[in-house]
Amino acid sequence: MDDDRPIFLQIAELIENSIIDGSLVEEAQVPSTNELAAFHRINPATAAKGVNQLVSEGTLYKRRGIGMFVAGGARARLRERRRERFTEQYVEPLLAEARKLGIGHDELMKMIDSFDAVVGRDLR
Amino acid sequence: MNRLRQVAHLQMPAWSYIAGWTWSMTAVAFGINLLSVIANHDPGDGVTTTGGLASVYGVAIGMATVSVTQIFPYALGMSVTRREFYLVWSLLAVVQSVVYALVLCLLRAVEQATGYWGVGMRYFGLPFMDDANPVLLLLGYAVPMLVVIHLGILFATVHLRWGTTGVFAGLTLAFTALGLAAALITWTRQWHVIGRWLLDQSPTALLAGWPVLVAAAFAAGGYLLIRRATA
Amino acid sequence: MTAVVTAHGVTKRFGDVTALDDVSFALAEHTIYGLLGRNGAGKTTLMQILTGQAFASSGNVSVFDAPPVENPAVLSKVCFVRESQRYPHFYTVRHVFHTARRLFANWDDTFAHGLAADFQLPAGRLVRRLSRGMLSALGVTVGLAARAPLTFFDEPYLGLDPAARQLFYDRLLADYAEHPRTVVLSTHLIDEVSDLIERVLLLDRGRLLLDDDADDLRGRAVTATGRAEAVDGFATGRTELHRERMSGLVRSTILDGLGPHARTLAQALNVELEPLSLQQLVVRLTAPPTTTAPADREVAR
Repeated sequence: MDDDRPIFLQIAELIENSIIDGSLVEEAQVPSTNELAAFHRINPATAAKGVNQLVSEGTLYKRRGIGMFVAGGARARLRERRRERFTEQYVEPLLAEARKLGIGHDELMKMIDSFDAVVGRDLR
Repeated sequence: MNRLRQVAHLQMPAWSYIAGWTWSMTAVAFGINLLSVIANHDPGDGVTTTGGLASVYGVAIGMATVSVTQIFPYALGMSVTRREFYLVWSLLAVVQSVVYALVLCLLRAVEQATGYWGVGMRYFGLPFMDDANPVLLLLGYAVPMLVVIHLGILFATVHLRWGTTGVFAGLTLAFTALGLAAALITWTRQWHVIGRWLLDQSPTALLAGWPVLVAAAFAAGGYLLIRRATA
Repeated sequence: MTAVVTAHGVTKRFGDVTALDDVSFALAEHTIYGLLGRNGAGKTTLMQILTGQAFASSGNVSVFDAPPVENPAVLSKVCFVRESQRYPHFYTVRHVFHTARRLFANWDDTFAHGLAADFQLPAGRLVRRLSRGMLSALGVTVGLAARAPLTFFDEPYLGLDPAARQLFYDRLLADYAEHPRTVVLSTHLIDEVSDLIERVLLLDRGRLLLDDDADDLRGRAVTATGRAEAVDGFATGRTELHRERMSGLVRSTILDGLGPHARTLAQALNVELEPLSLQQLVVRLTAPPTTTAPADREVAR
């Protein structure tokens, strides 16, 4: 774990990312806390805390004696929540920095378009 | 009981050292004595007692000290209590005393069967106990051994508590006390009383009776000291 | 929480030196603790007292609901791997395993031999002929394979290279997951273990400074970097641990009291906030007062 936010949050976010990008589909079993702990080299209790947060939010659910699974509709809900935070997390800092550097609205839009074109070509 | 047996295994790796040193040193001392007796042998001399047997007991003191100072810090690190450690070391002292005594009895038998090694040298036999029964004879060897092992353990516990300085201070104190006692006896002209008391005791009591109390005193002292020892 | 250890007002004096000063805390079942603090802070002394190897001058210690001193029932559940553990002169590595197997109820011989192979410990070698790293590996192997419900590791990594340390952390984590127990890890390599430990005990000159969740401590302090007057404005009313200066730029280390408004305020003041790692936090909390003011030193550099 690299950044200095609480590790359990990072674990929760990693699982969320896997759900959003589709590597963990709905009704799929998520790795056990011991697997998560061993893989990320963290304390199992911390891994469990991250998983439990997702359970209490309804992203995962527990099947007694079997393990944790991705809840139905989890992906849509997570995408919705991330979209809500998108402005605050990405747009605001972008605009603040642009303002600091004197980059105007048109110039910024142009940058986004040309970057998108490059990335789009590479992805193709 | 099972726990004590497990703790006893802490001493097992030391045994090749303890037994090896003790008996090889005894063999060397015996060899030197034998050579010197052969060199000066005069068939008319009868039997001479060398007193070399004392070396077996002297070595035992050192071995007991080393086995405690070496193994106690490790035992403590392995979650053994001081009480368990001391109890086991005392029990092993008894075992060692009896085993050594048996070996010495055997060597004494060989000594007598070979006509004192053919040169009239009494090395392993105890004086004054020629006509003692086997049990008393065994005790005559074993009990003094028990005393010296516990003396060695006592030295070690002093060392555990107060280091080398403590051992020297303890020895100084002990010798001073003995010296003062001797001076006091001389001053009050009581040596003849002590002498008479000693003469009144049988060799058995002197070798196997009273020393039991001495061993018990040493053991009690060592136990008191080790109870507060740290590694 | 089920407490396996409780300590109340534990104090230890050596002559007129106070090694531990009124230390109170509890250790929970199935938790990995980091016991942190500078050399001489009292870490080893504390562990010696908890394992009945040393005696507290005052205060009470209870381990598995009983005093540990001379208590075989308690000590049979405890394993203390000391950095400076002394081994008998004539002991080989094999002797250590043989005796450990007899003295620790949960000892796993297969696991021990697996670890010994991983660490390339020569079984037949005399312990006193082992290198510093090998000696640490032996301690680590005993501590892990003993599977004692309460295990203390006192700086178990001395002389171990990074690969061997990683091996230790991985084995500890894997075995802990299968056989949960209480582990106390005394270490200076805080960055290496900060993801492993669940709670932190920080000792400083004999006093207990922190007893917190490791994860909570990650957000506990930040550095605020910006122009001097902006940082001053931000730091007002907050606990400042440390301050560095370079021309007009100031970096201030601030503890607690960040709150939701702090980020907005920082943004408005153009002050950059960065969270402090556990290791940096410990450094800041336990660094001695410097003789030259840090500000002057920074300028002189």
